[in-house]
This record gives sequence, C-alpha cells and structure tokens, in this order.
Amino acid sequence: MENIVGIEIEKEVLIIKEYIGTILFSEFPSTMLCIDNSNNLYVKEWVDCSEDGKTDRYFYFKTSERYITSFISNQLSHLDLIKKCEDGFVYFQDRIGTLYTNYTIVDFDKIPLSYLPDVKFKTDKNDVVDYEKIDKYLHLRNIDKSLDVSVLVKNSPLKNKNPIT
Amino acid sequence: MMALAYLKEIKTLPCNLSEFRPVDINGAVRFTFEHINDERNFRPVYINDDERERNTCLGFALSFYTNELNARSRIDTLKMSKENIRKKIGTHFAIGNIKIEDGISDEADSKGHFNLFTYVGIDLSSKFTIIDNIN
Repeated sequence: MENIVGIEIEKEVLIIKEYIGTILFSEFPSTMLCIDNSNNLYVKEWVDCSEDGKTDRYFYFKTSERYITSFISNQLSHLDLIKKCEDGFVYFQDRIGTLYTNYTIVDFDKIPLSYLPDVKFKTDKNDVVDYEKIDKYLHLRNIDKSLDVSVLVKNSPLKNKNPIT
Repeated sequence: MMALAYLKEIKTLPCNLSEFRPVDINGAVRFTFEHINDERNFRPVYINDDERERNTCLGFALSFYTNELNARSRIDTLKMSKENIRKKIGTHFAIGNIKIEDGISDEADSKGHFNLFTYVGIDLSSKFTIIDNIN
C-alpha cells in the first residue's frame, strides 16, 4: 500500500454514527455515504488493501447534500466531489480485521494519485447502489440547485464586468 | 427439486426470487483471483466479507457477465473510480458455461451483468477457466 503522509489524530475525533447507503459499486461497496455524531455528511472511500487482504484502507471527507446531489446526477465528477471536501483535507484510516487505526489527516494535494478517481469518471443515479435509501435521507429531488451560491457568483455580471480603463 | 445454497439466509433478506430462472449461459465471465481453486472465487460476497452489511439476498448470489467484452468494459469503469479494486473483487477473468442444473439466474442488465444463486453442492471452479489477468 502507499505511504500516507499527514498528521495523526485520535479516532475519537471523527465518529461515524450511521451509514446511509452505498453509492458505488454493486460489485464492492467502495464509495459510501454516512453521517458523524454531529450529523455532518461524510463520504467514506475504500482505496486499497494489503496483498493478504487483511488490511483495508479508507479515507473519509466531509461533504454537502448539494455536492452529493450533483455527483449522483452526473454533474460533478468523482474527483471534483473529493476536491470540494468541506475541510480541505481527508481522514485516512486502516482497518485491520475488526480493528480501526487512528486517523491520518491528509491535504487533498497529498492524496496518492492511485487513490484518486480518473478525472473523467462520473456517475448517475442508475449506477447508485442504494439510491432509494440515499434519496429518502437527503430528499434529493427537493434540493434546488439554482440556489448554489458558487454558481451565482461565477455567473454574476459584476464578475464578468470589464475593468474600468 | 434442488435447494439453493444459503437458502436459510436468503429467506431473511429482501428478495424477489420470482425473477430468477434456471438457464444455460455459455461463455459467462466472472472476476476471480489467479488460481481457479482460490476459495474466494465462487463464494458469495457476504461469505467472503463478513463485515458487509446484509441488506439484500443478492449478496448470496454470484456476479457474472454475459461475455468477456461486457466484463472488460465493466472493470474498466470500476478502475476509473478505484484503481485498486481488483485487489478486492478479483485479479483475473474466468470464463465458463453455466447450466440449468447449476442454479437460477436473473436477466442480464444493460451492462451484461447477471446474478446466479447456485444450488447446494455446486462447484463452479471445475467449470471455469482463467483466460486473462486484469491489468
């Protein structure tokens, strides 16, 4: 497995209290949606395992309903979903049998490339394993994407206004 | 009538077995590990991974693709998201013929994937051959 460079923190810092459902894949649950004990939304990504299969490596990152909705509706790539993690970093953790290690906090830029999706990889709701469960929890259909502030700012006439010369 | 393997467990989970039929499928492809007799190759995911949440009877079925092209296409998609996924689901392609006496299958989906519930005592490792590794 890859060498992870970051800051080690106690595993009590991030406690996942509930799994909402699996986003990808039916063959193996490698991208899952969950919430912590403060009801923040997190994605759990399986990224690697040891050759003997006894150690699995995951990373978690904080996200938002809006980004999950965009990802599931084929508007946001998997890589961008991770890149837009709310804290700017991810929490790596290994599972050895039933034991979980402490977390290692890693900046997005320091995540090994082999642990990141291809820039072109997107998905849609037909590929989402537990779409109904996730929809029930997040009420995906009720989220109004037109209120996305980043989009409003990006498209603002002021932003595109020619500088005064 | 032959009994399904893991029937006791299957009965406890959400399931629509009415969609499954005994059918002959020639040239079915499955992801396996390097040696065809590897015990993980033809065991359901719920048995191979006891940490997996059991929320559907399909976890006691085996995944196949209708042909090699569909299997290659699917692994290419999976690898775009997770480069190391072959370490978990299989490092090789194996091909073989599924017969009506092996179990019951559902209709293949748009990606050519289908599920097979095997009958008690069926050993598919003797019917499948490794054809290539997954790069």
